[in-house]
Amino acid sequence: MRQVYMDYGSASPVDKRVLEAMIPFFDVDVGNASSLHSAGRKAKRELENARTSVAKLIGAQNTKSIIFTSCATESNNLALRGAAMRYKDKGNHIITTSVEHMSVMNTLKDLQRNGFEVTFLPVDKDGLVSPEQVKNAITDKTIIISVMYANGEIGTIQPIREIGEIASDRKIIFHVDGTAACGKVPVDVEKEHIDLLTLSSNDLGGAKGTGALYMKQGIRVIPFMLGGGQEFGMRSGSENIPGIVGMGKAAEIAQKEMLDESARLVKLRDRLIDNILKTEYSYLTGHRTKRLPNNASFRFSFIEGESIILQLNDLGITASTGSACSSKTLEPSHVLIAMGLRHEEAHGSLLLTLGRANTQEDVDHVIESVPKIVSRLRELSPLYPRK
Amino acid sequence: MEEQFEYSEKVMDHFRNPRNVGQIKDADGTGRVGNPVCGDLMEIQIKVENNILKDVKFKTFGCGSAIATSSMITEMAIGKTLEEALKITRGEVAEELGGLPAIKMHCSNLAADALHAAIKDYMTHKEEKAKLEAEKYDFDVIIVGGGPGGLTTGILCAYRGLKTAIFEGSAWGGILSWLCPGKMIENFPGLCEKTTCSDLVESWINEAKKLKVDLKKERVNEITADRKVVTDSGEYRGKIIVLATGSSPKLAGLKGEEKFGKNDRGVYYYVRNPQNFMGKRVLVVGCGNSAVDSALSLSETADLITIACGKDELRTVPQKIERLKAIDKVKVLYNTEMVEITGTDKVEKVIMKDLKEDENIQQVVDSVVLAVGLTPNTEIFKKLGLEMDEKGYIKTDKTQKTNIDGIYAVGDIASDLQLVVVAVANGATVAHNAYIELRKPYWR
Ligand SMILES: Cc1cc2nc3c(=O)[nH]c(=O)nc-3n(C[C@H](O)[C@H](O)[C@H](O)COP(=O)(O)OP(=O)(O)OC[C@H]3O[C@@H](n4cnc5c(N)ncnc54)[C@H](O)[C@@H]3O)c2cc1C
Repeated sequence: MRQVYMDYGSASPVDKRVLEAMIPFFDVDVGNASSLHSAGRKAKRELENARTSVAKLIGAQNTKSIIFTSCATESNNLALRGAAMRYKDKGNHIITTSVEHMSVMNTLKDLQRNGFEVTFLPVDKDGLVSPEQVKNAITDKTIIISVMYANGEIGTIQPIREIGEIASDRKIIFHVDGTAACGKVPVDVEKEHIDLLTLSSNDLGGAKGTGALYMKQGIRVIPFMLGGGQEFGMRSGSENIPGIVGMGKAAEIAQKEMLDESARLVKLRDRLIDNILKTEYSYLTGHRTKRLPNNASFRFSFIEGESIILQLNDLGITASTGSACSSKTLEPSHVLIAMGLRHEEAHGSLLLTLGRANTQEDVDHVIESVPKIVSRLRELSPLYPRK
Repeated sequence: MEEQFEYSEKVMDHFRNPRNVGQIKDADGTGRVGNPVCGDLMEIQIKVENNILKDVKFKTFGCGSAIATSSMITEMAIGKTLEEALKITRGEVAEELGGLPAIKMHCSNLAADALHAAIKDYMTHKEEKAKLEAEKYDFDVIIVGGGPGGLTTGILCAYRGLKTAIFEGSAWGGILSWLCPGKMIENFPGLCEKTTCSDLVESWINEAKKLKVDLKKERVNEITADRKVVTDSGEYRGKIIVLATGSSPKLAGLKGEEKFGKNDRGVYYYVRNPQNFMGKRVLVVGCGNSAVDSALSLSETADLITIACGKDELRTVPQKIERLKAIDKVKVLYNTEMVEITGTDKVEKVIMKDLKEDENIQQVVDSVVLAVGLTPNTEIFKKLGLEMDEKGYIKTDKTQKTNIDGIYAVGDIASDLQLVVVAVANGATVAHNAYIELRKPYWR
């Protein structure tokens, strides 16, 4: 049976070229970047090369602005918590959206419990927040605006440049969670006035266990990992050289191939969307055009997401859902709810995220399988209206 | 137990190939639990036959375990009694599936609840149906038996404005019009001397018709505790049932009784028409009123009348003893028991035993009248659980109520004094109490 992996948003395979670049650093080139011997210096060199590659990918002028972390969640924590602590004398107000990743949501909720005021801006039915909303939410106490570049669950890309301009005008720190977007769409921290940008290695095609935070020169945050002062004092702990080398390589490949690969994915994505929407009672979630090239997300009325996933799995297709049944909290995705979907609508969600390995044959297999499964499950559903 | 994170093979099997999916046409019960808002909604339908789940079908909106538990429970429940099915727990369903991931134990394991809801739905429907059914009555009062007790109860109930029916299986007027239609009822005050049994019955029938009593010529085969009367042609429900089935002549259980008891071969239980005994030698067996009445009614026609009485005196009023004495052709044999009735084609001879002398005596006769008493007609109440005395007479309280709600009894079947006037008085008592029970008047 054809095996189709369409869950790149949850976890991506490591690019072969990345893997090759990483391997020597596990057993051959094992020096610590802080050591003075040649092995140490080699590690240090590779670390700085990786920094340069990541900086280039996002248009950062200064390579020193890249801080490697263990994952995007850590980067988000460091950015928000660190900036809030650093600038708390200027004010205590933070603006964000209601569709952020849990690592942003929960960090901000924790700050809220500790005396900060957080505005969670609502989004429209496509998951978009408008620059106007951001502008109107600003007070003289606002110190941080945090808006994700694109949402991995629904693919919607936010008007980052406009929001960046507003933040920069008002001298408010602008944090952007770029996890789902970096490597898929061009991100430019200079042009988009981004002060803090979160990245994940795995989403670029690197290995899990590495992330990065871009920190504009001149902006400082209070670190919470204290120790040997690595990563310019922002993130102590011996550097994960293999992971960082991998992230650097992945960034380098992304920079070279992103435009072509994205164009290819957009075609596959649109083929998926156009065909799957032919199923009755099926709807696209997220914006139709302001959308990540690899994201095709839907919802189907009268059926439940976990069942869809299990049935697709039986047909060799790996996908995701925002249904409550598949979550640890048994709550449906807050993103879908924030977009105005009712709970029962959110339960019927299906998320297909494409990647490098997907072909048109894969897409056609999915296009053929989804309607079958949907109608099978509807046969079982007490909610499905009989004709 | 180790915590489970994944679905077992059995769960996946039921998820992939769910059993008993769908809806049941004319389902007896439907259970819907859960809520699409929380991610799981199950609907289970059942078909019940004789308290057993004949069919169970489901439809489920929800995750894999929701579908698997629904499918599983249909398999577990089919063939079980409602009580057994109500005992199936969520835990048992999960166990039967080889366990469920801990997180699924609660919200996706609603199948048992859905099944229980379907059964409860069925039960409430059944109760509602029974209640509706219970409210459908054909009559206020149904009287079983059209003898003096039944007819007069009917008349007096109808007089009170109650919708009344009387069911009679053989002859209107009861045992009197059957055994002695021409007899005059001397102990029923107020009747002129010329009034015979049939005259009396005729006037009761006329009165009943005038009061719109529904007179049904149907034998009642069964009476149920929910006050349904079943006949060959239908079922009728009454808010109150009055039993007035009276009694029938008892069999004596003699040798030869059966052989000559049918087709006019010489053995009778009563003297219906004295003319039929013209010139005959008749032996009347019995010590009571009916034996004496039989002997007296034969005095004009029979040649010789012998009364064989097992005791040393007759149980009747002194006037009748006087009347008997005045008739020459009547002879009373006291302390004499019957032994056998013999003959080839017809009755020719009887063998009796003189208890005092302890010897058998023979007598040549043409006819034998076995007036050995009556036995209550209680055959149709056997299943009802009515309280009766050792002789089979129904026990009642002062208001003529039996031990079963809404069921009364009147006349011979319910009294020691087997008299027409008593049967009529019972009827008056029932009419009064039925009226109170049904109409609940302010004065009570
Ligand atoms: C020979 C004889 C002489 C009597 N003389 C006197 C007398 O002089 N004075 C006096 O006061 N009393 C007399 N009695 C007693 C009197 O006849 C009874 O007390 C009286 O008939 C009782 O009436 P009843 O309605 O209770 O029963 P019954 O008269 O026995 O009537 C019962 C009726 O119920 C009907 N029935 C039974 N089962 C069913 C069924 N399943 N479905 C439908 N119908 C059914 C029977 O066919 C019958 O018609 C005499 C009795 C006999 C046998």
